[in-house]
Amino acid sequence: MNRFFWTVPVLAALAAVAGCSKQELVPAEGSGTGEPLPEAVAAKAVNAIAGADRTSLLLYFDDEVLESIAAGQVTKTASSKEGPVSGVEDIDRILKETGAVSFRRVIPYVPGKEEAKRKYGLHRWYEVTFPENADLASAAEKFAMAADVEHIQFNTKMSKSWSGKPSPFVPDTRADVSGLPFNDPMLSAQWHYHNVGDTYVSLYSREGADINVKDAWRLAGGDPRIVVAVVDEGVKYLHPDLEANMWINEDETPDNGKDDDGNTSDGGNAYVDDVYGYNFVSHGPITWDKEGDTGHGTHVAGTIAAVNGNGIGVCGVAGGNGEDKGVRIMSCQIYDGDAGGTVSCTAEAFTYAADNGASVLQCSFGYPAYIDIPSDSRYEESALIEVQALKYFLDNAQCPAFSGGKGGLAIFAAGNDGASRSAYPAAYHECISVTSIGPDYLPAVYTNYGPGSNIAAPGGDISIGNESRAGVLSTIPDEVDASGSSYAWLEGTSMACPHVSGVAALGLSYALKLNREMTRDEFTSMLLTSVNDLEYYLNGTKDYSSSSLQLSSYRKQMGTGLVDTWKLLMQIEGTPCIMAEVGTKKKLDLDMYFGGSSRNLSYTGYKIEKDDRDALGLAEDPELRNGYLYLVCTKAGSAKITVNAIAGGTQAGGGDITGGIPVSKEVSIIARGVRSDNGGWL
Amino acid sequence: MLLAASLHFASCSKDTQSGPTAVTGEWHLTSVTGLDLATADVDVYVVFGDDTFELYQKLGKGRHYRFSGTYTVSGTSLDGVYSDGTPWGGSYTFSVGENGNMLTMVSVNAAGYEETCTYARETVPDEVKSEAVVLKSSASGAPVPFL
Repeated sequence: MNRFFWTVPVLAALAAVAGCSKQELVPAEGSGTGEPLPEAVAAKAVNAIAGADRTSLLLYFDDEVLESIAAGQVTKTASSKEGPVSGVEDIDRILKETGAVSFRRVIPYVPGKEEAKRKYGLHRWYEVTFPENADLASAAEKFAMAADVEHIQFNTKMSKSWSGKPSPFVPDTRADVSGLPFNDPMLSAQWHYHNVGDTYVSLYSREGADINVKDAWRLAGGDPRIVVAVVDEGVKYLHPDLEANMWINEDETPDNGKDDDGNTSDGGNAYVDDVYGYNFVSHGPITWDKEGDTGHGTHVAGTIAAVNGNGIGVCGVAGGNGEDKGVRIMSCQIYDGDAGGTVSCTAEAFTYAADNGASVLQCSFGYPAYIDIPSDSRYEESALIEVQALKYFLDNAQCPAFSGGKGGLAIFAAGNDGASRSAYPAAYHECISVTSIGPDYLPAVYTNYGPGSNIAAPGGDISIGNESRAGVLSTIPDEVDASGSSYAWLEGTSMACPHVSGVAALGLSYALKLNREMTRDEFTSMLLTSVNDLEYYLNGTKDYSSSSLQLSSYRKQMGTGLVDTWKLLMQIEGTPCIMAEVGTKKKLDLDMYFGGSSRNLSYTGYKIEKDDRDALGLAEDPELRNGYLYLVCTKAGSAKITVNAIAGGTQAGGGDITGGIPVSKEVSIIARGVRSDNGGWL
Repeated sequence: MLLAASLHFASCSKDTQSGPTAVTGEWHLTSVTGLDLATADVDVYVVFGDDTFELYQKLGKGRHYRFSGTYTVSGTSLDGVYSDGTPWGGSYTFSVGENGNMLTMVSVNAAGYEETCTYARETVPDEVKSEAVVLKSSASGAPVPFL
């Protein structure tokens, strides 16, 4: 079974100490030699050393010393013959003692953005690098002794949990799929967009196990003002099915070795030659064809915005309408062959995306669920710089569809461990966690589910497929495939995630088209309630050749349901009223507002103003029960009731809880003398 | 209840008509008992054919939704069934007045609440027809709209 979700081999010790106070966060082992870390390190370390990059360390400085560091950085050359310098005597001594080879601020100084970054503490992080085979524990001890160092974070190194090869697309014959709007020849094989339930994909295919985008494309194809940052392997920006939808930093001159865009007063955004994005690993060109690259980033990008209607290859969810361009892809490369994937790379990528116009963070990576991060608060403590950067993106991205052009969305894969809880960061309550289904409308064998999961999307389940066709078909770099194919099938929550990112990007595009402005929370509520019901199918078992899934285990655990593009666009247009009948107690179906699985959501309450109560002549309080709203109206009129629910699970995440995202919907009600069961006026 | 409604219409003006030929045509909702259509943002068109109907309704925000089905006339009674098999929410007593330009439909529900809807003869705008979408049922029973 192929499992294509990138995971972080985090800190084995973390599992043992999860839930303990910081003083108890003493890693079981030091630098891999078995000796415990010194007490001074334990007192300042936010995480454990195991699984960290052995050549770097992240230091969080006391605010008061930063001025000296800044001055030192200006007056001395960071790469002087004497080695790296900080400008602070005590730190410079340790840099020399530890044989450090570089000392740099993790998030670069950009004048126009500095004030905002300071609010999150991002200006206080510095990265020290050491030669190979450095004694990291010893170095950490020395820095921990420095009074100016407030926290130490070991630079957790992300790695790929699966390094297999994609299954290349082989041109073949397929039963006609009628009504497809674009001439891209492989669209008919992309069941994840439009599943007709035939045997081409799988014997177990079910019609409708898709994101229901076919008709939505008639309303919107994507808007170039919406930029999706693909935080992943480098995206092959020259791919013929992607190139037209790549984000381009027009102010940057490629390959001249200068930071010449005009975003800052000194003539740059602090990154050199960042034309299609940036390589945060090598700080050089974006790459996709090194030893260890798999095509993962290019595949994810294609699902979001492969060019539609260009007569070649595949389609993307928000890849344009065949005439106008779609949303744009910004490549934020945090993997570079076998290198990269550290939290410092990730934090940089998040802040870069925010500062350079991305509206959505597409993140198909995370910590494996078997590493016990038991709560949001523990995640916040142990992944400090990552969380700060994530919050910075969420608050400071400039999505043009959001009120005031402020805010962004972070969408993560739930993980491929088959675990009964979402992995972090996906599970964090400010992120949207995406679980995966196959073409059979059922959970994929690998998908994580349970607390922290927010919504499901097709990620493929090749094990039940006809050849590899039950995977997700998208773009890859031909360099990574032995046959030289530019298209391939992959499976994983990694592949489900970009479907939700694409749907979100298409929804934001449609909001721009309609001039419909909304807050990030309003849009998130719309996205997470634009779903079809999965619960209907969760009975019995799903059988594989050597195992089976008990489907009842997944009930109410996959998020709100299967994402539905059409429903999101309808919600953006505006949700119709629900009709109630005067004089009769009726149960009102909330599907229109909370999606096809509204009866399975956990509701936390409602609010109705006195004027609205009077308008309907409510003699008694409405009742929310089993996903229905019960009320008795004594007179005709119209009113609004705000209903609150949890998207994913039974309790909201945050603090000591791994949980769902609170959603709030304003339900409009018309009370009149007649009410048909299907919502028709007559 | 129906008897009461019928008696109500017995006193209507003498140009009142009844029967299929009277309701045939395109109608635009203009008033509903107790409901401010502008405040509620309600916009409804009904098209009665010989024995079929089409309904274009916008209730609140969003676009028009299209429903269809069949209807029957018996005297002054008007009943119908949607194409998905759902019966209308009530049985109506109808009359057509103002030289065939106003349709009045009265219903009385089980709680005894009487509602009068009036419609003016008016062609359904092309933009309403073109934007309208249909509701159909998915395999799971959840409504799935499609164009």
